[in-house]
Amino acid sequence: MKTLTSDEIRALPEYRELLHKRRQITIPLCLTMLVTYYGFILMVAYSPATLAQKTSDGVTSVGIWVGLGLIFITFAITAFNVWYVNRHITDLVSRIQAKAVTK
Amino acid sequence: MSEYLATVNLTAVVIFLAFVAVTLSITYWASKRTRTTKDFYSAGGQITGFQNGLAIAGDYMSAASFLGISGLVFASGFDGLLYSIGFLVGWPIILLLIAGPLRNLGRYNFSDVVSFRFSQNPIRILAACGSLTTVALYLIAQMVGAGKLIEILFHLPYSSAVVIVGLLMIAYVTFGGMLATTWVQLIKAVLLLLGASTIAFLVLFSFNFNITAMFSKAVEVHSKGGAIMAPGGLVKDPISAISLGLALMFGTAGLPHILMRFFTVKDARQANRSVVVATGFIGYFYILTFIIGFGAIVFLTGNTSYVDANGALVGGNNMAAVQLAHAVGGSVMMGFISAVAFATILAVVSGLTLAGASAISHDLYARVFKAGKATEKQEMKVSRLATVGLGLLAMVLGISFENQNVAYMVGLAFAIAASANFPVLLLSMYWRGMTTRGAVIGGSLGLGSAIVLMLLSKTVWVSVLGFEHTLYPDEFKAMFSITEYPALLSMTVAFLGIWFFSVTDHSARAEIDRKAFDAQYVRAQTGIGADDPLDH
Repeated sequence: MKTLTSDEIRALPEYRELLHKRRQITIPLCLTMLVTYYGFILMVAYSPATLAQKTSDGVTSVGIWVGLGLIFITFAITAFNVWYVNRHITDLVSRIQAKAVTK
Repeated sequence: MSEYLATVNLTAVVIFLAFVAVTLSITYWASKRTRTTKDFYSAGGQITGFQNGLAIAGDYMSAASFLGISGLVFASGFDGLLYSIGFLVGWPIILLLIAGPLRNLGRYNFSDVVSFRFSQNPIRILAACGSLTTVALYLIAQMVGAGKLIEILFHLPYSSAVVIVGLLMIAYVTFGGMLATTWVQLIKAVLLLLGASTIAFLVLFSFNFNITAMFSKAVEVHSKGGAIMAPGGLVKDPISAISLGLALMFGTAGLPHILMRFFTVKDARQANRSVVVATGFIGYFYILTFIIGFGAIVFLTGNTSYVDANGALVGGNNMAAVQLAHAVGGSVMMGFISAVAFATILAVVSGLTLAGASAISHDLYARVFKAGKATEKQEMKVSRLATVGLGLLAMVLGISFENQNVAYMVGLAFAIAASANFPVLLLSMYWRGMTTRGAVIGGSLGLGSAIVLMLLSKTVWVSVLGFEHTLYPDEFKAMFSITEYPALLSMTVAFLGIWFFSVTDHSARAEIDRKAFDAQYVRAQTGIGADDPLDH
């Protein structure tokens, strides 16, 4: 069994592509999560009246829908990430593994 | 006390005994399959991504969050949702930054990962201290919650309830290791989701699934009226709000018993899948607790079977979900929920104890004390002894902290995890410049500052420790409000500390630490080398 050294793996074009693709998905999704959550927190802290506004039914507040929406967004981000990784990244990792470890 | 609480609920006792019988059989089965340390700490790496996701969700759906959050919604409506969201938003961060590399770099616990390229001893000791502090606080919260609940539901004295929980947990973990702990968690997660779904369904059913009608009724009967639909007084100032948000979001990524679960699956891909499954179940569960909280407002307010003359809930706000179960489903439903709540506590304390035991046996004993030369047999023996020791400690702590606020203790555990464990873990994976010295000093500063701030806070110094006055003069109250939610300050201290003591580190060790980064990063990203059998 022969294994490439980590320096050799780093020189593989597939490895560069892997890092590039990871960055492409991780950074925007992380930012989306941080911005939506801290946006929400700042709204709770500085402008609770915005969240207290009633929606058209006269009872439910905007805050309730925003809060429930955040729960959905959180799940959507994780699901989208795994879908993206399976579609664009898993195969790349297998190719790198196949090149790096030859039996 | 209300009539139905004055007698022992037979359904609860029967269901609980059945749960104990089933889980002990599983423990017996698991004990036959738990021979090596790999079996003991990580169930042999044979758990599927879906199972692991459900087990993680189970760890997260603790009695403190089920009873605590539904109680919070019952008491103040919208503010309860704030907590749920905070607990949930850490998951994408774990998925995007932590889960895959964690699985690729470690074997049993997160100390394996943070010590990957650094000098073993100092980092292991630091990681073990961070783990044990987090585990101890979390354990206190769960034990106190368990004792209180069982006292009310099963009419057992508080201390015997704590002892029962402690003994059962010791049995699961000592004999069945991670395999038994995972299955106990899976069974309980399914039962809890079933029970909570049924209650929420019955509540919505009674309003013909018209949410607006439920909200209107709640606003009409609640003493705070329309205020329950808006952010209220839970968090007083913006700094506290942000600080609490940070602790909840990043604390999750530093909880040792959660991180440990990622080593029970085969590879990084399964680890990622488990996060999606966990996030889905946890999100669904929080929506249920929200409906249950509002259901409790509607069904329990003003009903003399459930509230006393002053309008306060019998047994306290934490009993909202249990009382609501009785209101919508009678004593059978209430018995079911009570038994599940008891089971929940057992499952969660088992996972916590296992994580604590691994810090003692794997980090402190095998790696530090024996310098990696401990035999498999010796390490197993120490891990079992550590489990028994931690179980006994949990009972003592549970009994001595009887009257503490459970939700606040959980909050503190998150603050410590976010300040001590998370910064070291994140930077060890992504920052080439971090050195052993930076990690140890920065991590200790994060842990130390979080603990000191906590101790200074009015809640801990006055309410928990029983001193008459806070250590700071009253006129500085506003300035010291940070001590109630310390994460903003202590996380900053940790990150700055790690940065400063790393960049100024010119030792020979620092050279080694930085040079090892590239190889570590390749393994973290590709998993190549992750399953090397070098330790077997």
